[in-house]
Amino acid sequence: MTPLFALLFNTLDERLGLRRPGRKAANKVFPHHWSFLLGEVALFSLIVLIATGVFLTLFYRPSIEMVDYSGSNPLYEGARVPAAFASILRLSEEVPGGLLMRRIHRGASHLFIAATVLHMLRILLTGAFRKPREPNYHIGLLLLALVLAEGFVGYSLPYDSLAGTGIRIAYSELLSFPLIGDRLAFWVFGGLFPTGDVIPRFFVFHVLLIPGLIIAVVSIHLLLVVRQRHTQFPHPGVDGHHLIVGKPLWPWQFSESATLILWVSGLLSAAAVLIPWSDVTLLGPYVPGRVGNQAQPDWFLFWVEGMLRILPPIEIDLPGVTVSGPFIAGVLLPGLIFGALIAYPFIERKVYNLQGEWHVLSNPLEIPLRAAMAIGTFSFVLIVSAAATNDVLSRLVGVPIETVTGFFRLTAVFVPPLLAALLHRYSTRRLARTGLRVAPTEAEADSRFQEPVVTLSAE
Amino acid sequence: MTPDTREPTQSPAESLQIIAKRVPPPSQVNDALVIGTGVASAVCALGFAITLLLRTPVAVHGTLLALSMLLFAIATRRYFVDRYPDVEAVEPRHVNDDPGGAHADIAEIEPIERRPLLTRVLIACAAILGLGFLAPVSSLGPAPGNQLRVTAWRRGRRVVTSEGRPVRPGDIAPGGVVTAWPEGAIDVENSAIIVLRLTTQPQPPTNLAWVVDSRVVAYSKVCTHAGCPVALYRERDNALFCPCHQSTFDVNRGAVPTFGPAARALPQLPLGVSDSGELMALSDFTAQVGPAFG
Amino acid sequence: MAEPQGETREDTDHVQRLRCLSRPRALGALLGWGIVAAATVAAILARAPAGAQPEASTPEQLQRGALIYQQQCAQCHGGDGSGGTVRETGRPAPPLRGTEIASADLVLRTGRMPPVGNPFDNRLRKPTVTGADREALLAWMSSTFGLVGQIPEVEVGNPGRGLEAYSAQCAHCHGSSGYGGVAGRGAYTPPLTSYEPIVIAEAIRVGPFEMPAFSDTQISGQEVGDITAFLRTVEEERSTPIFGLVELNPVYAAAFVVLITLALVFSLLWISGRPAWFPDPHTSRDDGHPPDRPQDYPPQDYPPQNHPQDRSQDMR
Repeated sequence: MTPLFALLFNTLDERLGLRRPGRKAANKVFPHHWSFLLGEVALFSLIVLIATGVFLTLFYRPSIEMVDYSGSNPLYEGARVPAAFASILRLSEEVPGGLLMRRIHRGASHLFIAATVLHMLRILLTGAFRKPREPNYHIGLLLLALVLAEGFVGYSLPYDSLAGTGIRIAYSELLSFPLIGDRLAFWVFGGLFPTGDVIPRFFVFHVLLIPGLIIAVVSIHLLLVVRQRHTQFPHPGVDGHHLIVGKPLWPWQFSESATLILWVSGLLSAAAVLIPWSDVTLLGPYVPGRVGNQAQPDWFLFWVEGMLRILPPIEIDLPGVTVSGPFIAGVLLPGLIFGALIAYPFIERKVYNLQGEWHVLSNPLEIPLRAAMAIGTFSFVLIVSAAATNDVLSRLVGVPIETVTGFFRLTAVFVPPLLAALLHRYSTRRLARTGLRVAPTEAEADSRFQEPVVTLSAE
Repeated sequence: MTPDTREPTQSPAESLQIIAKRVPPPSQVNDALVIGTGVASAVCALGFAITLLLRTPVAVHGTLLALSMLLFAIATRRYFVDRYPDVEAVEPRHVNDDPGGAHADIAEIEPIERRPLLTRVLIACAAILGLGFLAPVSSLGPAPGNQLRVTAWRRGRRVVTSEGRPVRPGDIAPGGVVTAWPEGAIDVENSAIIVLRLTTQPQPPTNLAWVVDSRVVAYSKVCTHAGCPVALYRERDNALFCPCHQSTFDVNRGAVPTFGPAARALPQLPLGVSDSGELMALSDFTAQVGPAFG
Repeated sequence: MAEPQGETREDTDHVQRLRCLSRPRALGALLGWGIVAAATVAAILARAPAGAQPEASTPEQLQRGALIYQQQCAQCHGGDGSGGTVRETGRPAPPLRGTEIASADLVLRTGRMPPVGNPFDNRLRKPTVTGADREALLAWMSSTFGLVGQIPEVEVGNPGRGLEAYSAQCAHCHGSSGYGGVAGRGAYTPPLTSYEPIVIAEAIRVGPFEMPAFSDTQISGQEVGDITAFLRTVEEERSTPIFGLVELNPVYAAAFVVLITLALVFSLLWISGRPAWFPDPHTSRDDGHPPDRPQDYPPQDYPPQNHPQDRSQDMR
């Protein structure tokens, strides 16, 4: 410690008793792997989002009342635009650093969601959701849902023509709920589309409600990780069930986190210079009754948009209730996917008769059910996401869009089960080659790493 | 506990149990790198501040900001790596493999008399309380009523463009299409229509009584799938194409969907001509406008 | 004096004939000249404001035009312009007699004709008959087939009003800032920002192929000028370094998200180092993590029931 820091620390220590908990914390051991940093990347993106978001909030006007544009962009000279759009123009053109802040904010939102999805994928693939971590896994899925919602309302705020189209479709999705659809849409939007309430409400969701929930839920998520300790990859020669092997908080975990937050922020700034993430000046404001061709939501909603596009026409009229395509594409199917993810830890526990607690990660290629489920779900999500780009693909390749849509209909139905079956077969074979089974206890799983096992054939 | 060489006042948790350690040799190059990148990042940060105040383009101040952070990341990393011993340590976990067995109750103080009925009644009432407190949700928006079932079209209401100019059948070229509104209700989203002059005779299920000059028809512009405006008219095969999800409607035959996820035809507006030769509605739509609601 | 493009100079012939008159007829000649002059002035004044009359066609130009037509157009459209069949696909090639000159100019300027590949594929293509060749071909076609109408003139426009007009009339087909899109059944709406204003103006009035035509009452001449001014502004917008983008539609944004995420994952590997994935439990005990295990370093003791070297403890 430098003398100044020592003085400061001692002063606080005499009053708050920091020395012993400080040392304990500094010596805390963290398992070490690159994929464990994905959650941290999400966290640091969130910090960047909050920092840039506060700046943007000081300029953004949450209203769609028409105002006279008074800025310098010749495209809008003398025009009347919604106040929200005008404030975005002002940020992009007049406020020094405004455009950079907007782009970093949008870019960070993309990275936040991408890192969250990858982090979830890592948890799912390596089995970090096993007992005792199922609650934390479910909390993580809740976070994913919150983050997707936050992203959607966030990019709707500028009220440009692309965002407005998305808002109209969201209204239709709310309408599609059986029995309560019309009431639900009127409650959330404040009346018949388009209302003057939607942007102020989205603003409250985006700046207050959902970030508040995210921060609270992330805190619980991290608290649980601290309390339950982190899982780790198997270390030959070490009993991972009873010991954590890794690097201490000081200096190594601290060094990694400090480097990572700076590196992520730097990457986001560099991306903001090279990629015009959120430039909406050329799109123009949203006018109800108008649409621009080749419209998509942001990438993290491609899976829903794709299902909207490739589902065949469905409108089932039952007495008093209508079930329509948008409900199936926007609510039922995503709900099923989330449901499968939520239920999976219990399914795996039941199928393999798992006992006790698990703290060491497992290779998904040696757990057939997990490999099949993961590839089945994610290949479906990927194919359906690609289906949302069917118009861009049609233009790129020169194939009529009807053919492209038909292609995606077929692949979305047949490819995921096929891949799941193939990977299941590979995984079962791989297990059979080693003469082992999916271990029901961590002791058995770990014992494979304690001494060399004679294999029948090379891997 | 095994004997150890730690100070007696320290518990095991306060000291690292190291299982492997590598001490890097001191490196002048590394030290120079720390100082170099640190100073460079500070210069870039100052540059960022100055160029921001000077209102330079994004590319300039953005690059300086990015560089300052990336360089400081390298400086931080170099400060630790190759300056501190690289250690691998262990720590015991708290593992609870056999949670079964007797536990002490959480609550130490018990009621004088166990009355489950009281507990159940109270919980039931609390649930009803909670449900009752949800009532303000209904204040968030008006009751839908029939707002989703009617539009602004009425008998005799003239068809006007977005600028408010009444549309005459002759204004539309063959194969042309116009977005139009009810007079006095421009930009009311559910009342948007497209008026087309077809190049061929429309067939049933088009309602021929609502076709003007045997070629001019009007359909609702709101797609029956998810509500996007349908305005892309493919003259060659008389198709209306919705850009959002590619629902395609055959305008020769009552705008029935021929491709894509839309399941219902676009409602046809009963179209007539006023005495002064302007297009007008004969009544409101007779079919549901826009997407279905549950 | 602006002269009719591609039309026969019948009024000039009149003037030349009048020159041969004698003296008393000189008064008549003066009167005649006066009438002609007045008529010409009246014709200039009465001329529709949007309409560029083609340049005078020289015999060389006509010859060149005829040659180009024979080489590139005749096999489908017929040597006399009465139409025919496209050899490869069997689809009809329409007759050219009496069609609009703006339509002919448009398909030549956009490269739709002569078609390289499928003529109904209207994604962006390179024009093959350009500049003087195109003028020659048009001149010849005008005089031989009697093309009607005129090439529209583009007025100077305001990009702000153009954005408004564009978003109301064009965006649903051609995309929000002119980046093009899909129209179904193999039809595409091309991106517009690289076209000259004259192309835009012609397309609006002609309504080529699948595109509907817009009359003066729907899109006025001023609005046409505004729309071209808006598209020019889009084309000239300052773009980002290296990638040269002015805006990003979500699909391309998704591609960049993948790039950024990959960059991030590589950064994580750099920051955190090996191992990258699961160690192989069956062949080695070395998982390759950075610290060496120097033999002379005394291992710290930890609770004996969890000692890794102590195999006597049964692990349930």
